[in-house]
Formats: sequence, structure tokens, C-alpha cells
Amino acid sequence: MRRAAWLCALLLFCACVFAHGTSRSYLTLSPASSQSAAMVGDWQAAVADLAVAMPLDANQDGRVVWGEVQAQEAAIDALVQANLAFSDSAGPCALRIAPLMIEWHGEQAYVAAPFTLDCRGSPGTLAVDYRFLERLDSSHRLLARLNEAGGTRTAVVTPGVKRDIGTAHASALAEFARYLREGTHHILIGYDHLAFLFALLLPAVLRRSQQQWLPVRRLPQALLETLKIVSAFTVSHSITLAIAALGWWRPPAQAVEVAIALSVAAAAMLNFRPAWQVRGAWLAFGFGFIHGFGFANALSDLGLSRGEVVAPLLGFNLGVELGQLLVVAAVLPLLFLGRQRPAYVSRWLPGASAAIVVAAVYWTCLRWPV
Amino acid sequence: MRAAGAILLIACWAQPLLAAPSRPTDPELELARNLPPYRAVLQERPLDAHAAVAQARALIAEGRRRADIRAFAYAEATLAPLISQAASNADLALTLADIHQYRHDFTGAEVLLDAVIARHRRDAPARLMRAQILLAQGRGAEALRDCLSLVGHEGAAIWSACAAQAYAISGRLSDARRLLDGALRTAPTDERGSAWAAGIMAQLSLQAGDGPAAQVWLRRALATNPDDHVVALDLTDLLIATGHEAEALALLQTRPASDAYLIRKAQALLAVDPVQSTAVQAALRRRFGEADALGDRTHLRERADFELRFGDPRAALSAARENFRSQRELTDLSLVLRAAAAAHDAAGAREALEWLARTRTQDARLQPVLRQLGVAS
Repeated sequence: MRRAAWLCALLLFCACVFAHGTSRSYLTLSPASSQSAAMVGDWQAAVADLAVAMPLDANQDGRVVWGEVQAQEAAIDALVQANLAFSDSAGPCALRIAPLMIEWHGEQAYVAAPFTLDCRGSPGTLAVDYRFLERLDSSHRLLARLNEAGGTRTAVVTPGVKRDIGTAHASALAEFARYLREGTHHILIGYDHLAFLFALLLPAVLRRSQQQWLPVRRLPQALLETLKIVSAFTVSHSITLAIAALGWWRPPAQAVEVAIALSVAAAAMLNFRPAWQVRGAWLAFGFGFIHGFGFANALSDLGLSRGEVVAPLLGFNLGVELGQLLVVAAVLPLLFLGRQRPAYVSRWLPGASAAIVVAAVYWTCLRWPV
Repeated sequence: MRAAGAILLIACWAQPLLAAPSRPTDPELELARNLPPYRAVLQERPLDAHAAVAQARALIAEGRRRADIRAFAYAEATLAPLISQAASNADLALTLADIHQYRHDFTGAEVLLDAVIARHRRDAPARLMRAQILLAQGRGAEALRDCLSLVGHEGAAIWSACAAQAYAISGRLSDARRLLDGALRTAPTDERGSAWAAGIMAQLSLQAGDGPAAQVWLRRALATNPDDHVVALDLTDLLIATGHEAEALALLQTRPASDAYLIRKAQALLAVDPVQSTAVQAALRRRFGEADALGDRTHLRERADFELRFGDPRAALSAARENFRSQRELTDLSLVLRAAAAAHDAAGAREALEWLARTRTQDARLQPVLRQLGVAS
């Protein structure tokens, strides 16, 4: 008898035809807003898996219809609460489940449990304790997708193994590199910062003499002036960026944006009259304080929290400097080559400065509180 | 490959490629059909080891029939409290070995079977299972010993089919066909045993380059045992290769949506509905991406096959070579050689070619690819 039973099984011996691979569920988490620690997300489990874990197929006809899921909605909510726990540095997070939904992954239906998550600690310390099918299917996994301002990360979670899924999970070096990229990206797409820098660089290849502009004779002179401008800007914006990022003081974002636009206009207007003996480096230093607060707002939008300041701050700031240097490297040679043409002083400098002023005034209007 | 999988996972799954979740309004909306009775089986609380093994075997049988790997995990969970008894309970050890082999953990399966055979030298099920595991790894000579130990304990069709497989990967293809042909003509056996032997006869015919005979055997095997997935896959391949895509698609219609079947479906659809084929390929790519991200290495054969048919020959070669380290059936060998030829990388086939030369395995289907690789046949 034993032999016959085994033969039956062995003659179907085949290690090659898996249906849908191993069982898996999906978790998506996103910040509810950039201002709060609350998160929104959903957890999706295959109907076929839920039907093993709970009596979903009420009439046991081998089919599951939406009505049967609805009838078990409270039990499914309880199952989610029991098997999906989040915590962070401040302790357990509160999970509130919204009405269930259905999502199709190919031909497979998944029950989606949308939820909001209230955590009080740093997002960098978020951890998930996942238990679904823990005692039933050792190959089941949770595929977690975490949407952050800086991009999307994924993690594979094994039931019964608590897993850190906050940003602190990434290595400090990786975090530094990420913020470095973000800093560079911010300056390269930040048209107001670029306009400010351009307004300061336009006269960097000139010198003031008897109330008029004359071209500098040699490249080192232009380079020295540029270095002064960039260094002064770096020093001042680094100070305010750190003040805001460390949470010591932060002016209202809208006021900062208006002030940045006005600083661009002011820097460009000073190019019209060489008699106005304000050096570019001092301008950069002064207005740099305002731009620093602007950088801090951008950094904050990336999801920076109080627990993880140093590497992001350093990375972001160095990224900004790198972006500046790229702009300087691209623009300065052109300006230096064009400086001796009479049109540079008579048309290009005032023309470009005027264009910057117009743009800056437009930005000011756009940003002005209504 | 794992990194590629992770990228695929992010690129495919992380994007909103599917409709967003919604709350249905129709309570009769069908979400799943033909669900396996796993829950009903699992709810029976086995009172002793014998009942627990029976429950695990029921789960495995259902999973095997449906090609559903989840059933093996449920069976494993059922047996988890009993693992310490495996040394003294042959049925328990065999069931655990079955679970190991299904996950391609051939070493784990062998350890369990070796222990059973050490205690009961004539344990036919253990010998037969070990022979199949050895064959899957291309270890023909060792498998042959287990197969021949079945003489007198199993029907001639069973031990002949087992031994014929071992002969076929040891340079004795003609002997293999003669032995099994004789047994199938003369020895009466039960229907399942006969169907299994017919399936192996079909594979030997394919190796000998006799497509028409193979097709007859495959149909005969499938008529008796529709649950034999190996036979169904071989028949589908044969139908596609001979331009009968519509019949192949009809055959696939009743099959589980496994990677291996879906690959054939995508291939057959190329001839009749290329747009649909592209959709199936996209679904497969998503699956492989997820499996890679999960570290699931049991799909390498299918991954190599997929890349070879629809993707990048170099990726196919990489997956095929990794797969060949654990699985060494003819399919696995063929994948390495064809991928190496497609990737113009003869060096990538070296290990497989050495194995081919050492075992003196014969397969007429390999001749064109061997010529491409510059190997004299």
C-alpha cells in the first residue's frame, strides 16, 4: 500500500513547473505630506493567500466573490492589524485602515487594505514587524515600496523578522551621496539661484576704473574675483542653511522665496552703474544668507528629519557647491572670451542684467503673498 | 542577476503599471475561482505523525497537480513539529526530501534519502526518489545503481524507465530505447506507471531525433495522465517546432499559469497574435524581476529559456550557467549550449561541453548548436 501511494507521487516527479512562484504581498508607503510625520499606504494580499489564512470562501465552492470579502471585512481589518505593525523611535505607530479595495495583478486579484499611519518619531527609524503567513508559508515575502521625496526604495521583508525600513537603513555614505546629487540637482534646476550667480559673474571679467567698466587683462584676475564671489556666497548660505536645517530658526518659506527673487533683481541692477562701488563678493555674501534659507526649504522637502542631519546637510551643501562650480566652469570661459568686445560693456552686460531684472520682478510678483 | 532583478522590480512593479485599487460595487464580482482546498486540508488537526505525513502528502499532491509551490510550504509547516523524527520515520523523511527537491535543494533531499536507504536498503520509494534526484543532477552512473535495485521490487516498466533515463545520459541511448520499448510492450503495469514510462520513452525518442515517434508517446502519456507537466511541456514544444501553434495554444489553455507554460504561450502567440505575445512576455519579465529581487533561484531554467527566446542571449547564458550548476537534465544542458551559441561565446559553454563529453550524452537536437559552437559531433 505504501509503495503504491509513493509511486503515484513519484511518477509525477517534476521540479520544473511552478505556478506563480512563491507567495508575496505588497506594501506601499508614502508621506502624507512634507509637513507631517503621518504616512499613507496600502497592503495588498492575494485573494488566494487570504483564502488559506481565513475562511474567505464562505460557501466553500472554490470561488471567492467580492461579497464574500465584504462579509469578512472586519476580520480582514483585524488580520491586518495583527500582522502588520509599524514602530519608530517614539514607539508603535497607529494604523488606521480604510475600506478595503481590490487590485488586479495580472489575472490575480489582490485585496488592498489602504491605511494611514501615525508615527511620532523620526521617519529614519521606521520599522515593520510583519507576520502574515508566518507559521504557514516560510517562502512568503512582503515586497515593500517606500516613496520618499528623494525617490523610491524597495525592501523585501520576511515574516517574523522585524525590518528597519526607514531612511536610516541606508548607509551613511549612500545617504551622503544621495543628498550630494540632490544639492547639485537643486542648483542646476534652480533658475533663481542661477540667475543670481550669473548676475554676479557678468562683471567678474571686468574691473571698475574711473566710473566705467574695463576688461580685466588676464585670466587669473577673473578667476580670483570669481573665487571671491563663490566663496562668499558659500560661506553665508552655508550658515543659514545649517541654522534652518538644524531647526534653530527658519523664516517663512514664502518670505524667503520673495527675498531671493528681490536679491536677484538687486544683484542685476547693480551691474548698470559701475559707479556703484559694491563688490560682487560682498553682494554674494549678503544675499547668500537669504539663499541659504531657500536651500534649507529644498532640503526639508527631501524628507530630512531631526535624527539624521549631518550627512544630508553636508552632502546637500557640497552638492550645491559642486553645482555652482559646474555653472562657473561653463559660463566663465565664455564671459572671459567676450569681455574685450566693446559690445560686452555697451550691450551684453546691461542687456543680460535687464533681462535678469525683468525675470526677477516677475518671480517676485508670482511669489508675493496674495 | 540579482541586481538586475532589483532594477526590474523597481522599474516594473514600482511603477503604476496596473489599474489603481478600487472598491467593487458588484457583490458577485468573481475574484478567484477553482481555489485549491488547502484551507480545508490544513484545518484537519493530525493526531499523530502518520496523519501529519498523510496531510502533507495530500497538500503536495494538490500543489504538484496545480504546479503551485505554496502547497510545499504548507506541507513543510504541517511537518515542522515532527522534523526531529525524520531519522526514524521513512515516510516523513521521504516527504521532507520531496519538499527539498521541489525547491531544488538536492543536497538536503539526498541527505534525508541516504539516511532512509542506509536503514532500509530495499526501500523502493526512497531508491526511486534518489534516482530521480541524481538524474536531475546528471549523475547517471549513481542513478543507475538505484534504478537497478528496483528490479524485483517494482514493475518492469518502472525500473526500466528509471534505468533507461540513466543509460540515456551515459552514452547508451540505443540501449535505453531498446530496454524501455521492450518493457512497455511486454510488462503489464498500472496506468500511471505506464504513462510515466511512455513520457520517458518520448524523451528518448526526442533525443534520438525521432519526432513523430516522440509525438505518439507524448500523446499516449498525456491521455493517461494529464497532470504530467513535463510531458505537456515537451508536447507543446514539439507542436510549436512543427508549426502547430494553434494546437499548442489549445493545449496550454487548460494548464496552470506557470512560468514554463507562459513562455510557451508567448512563443506560440508570436505566430498568431504578436500583440498578445508581447503582453505575456511583459508579465513574465515582471515575474522574473520579482523573483530575482526575492532571491528566488528556482526559476533560473525558465529565466534562461525566456531570455533565449525573447531577450538577451548573454543574460540567458548567465542564467543557464548558474542553473547548470545545480540542475543537469538535458534541458539544462541544451539551454547553456544554445545560449552560448546565440551569445557567440563558445567559452561560456566550456563546462557544459566538458560534461557532455564526459557523460557521452547523446541528443540529436544538440547537433546544430554543437556545430555552431565548433564542436565536431
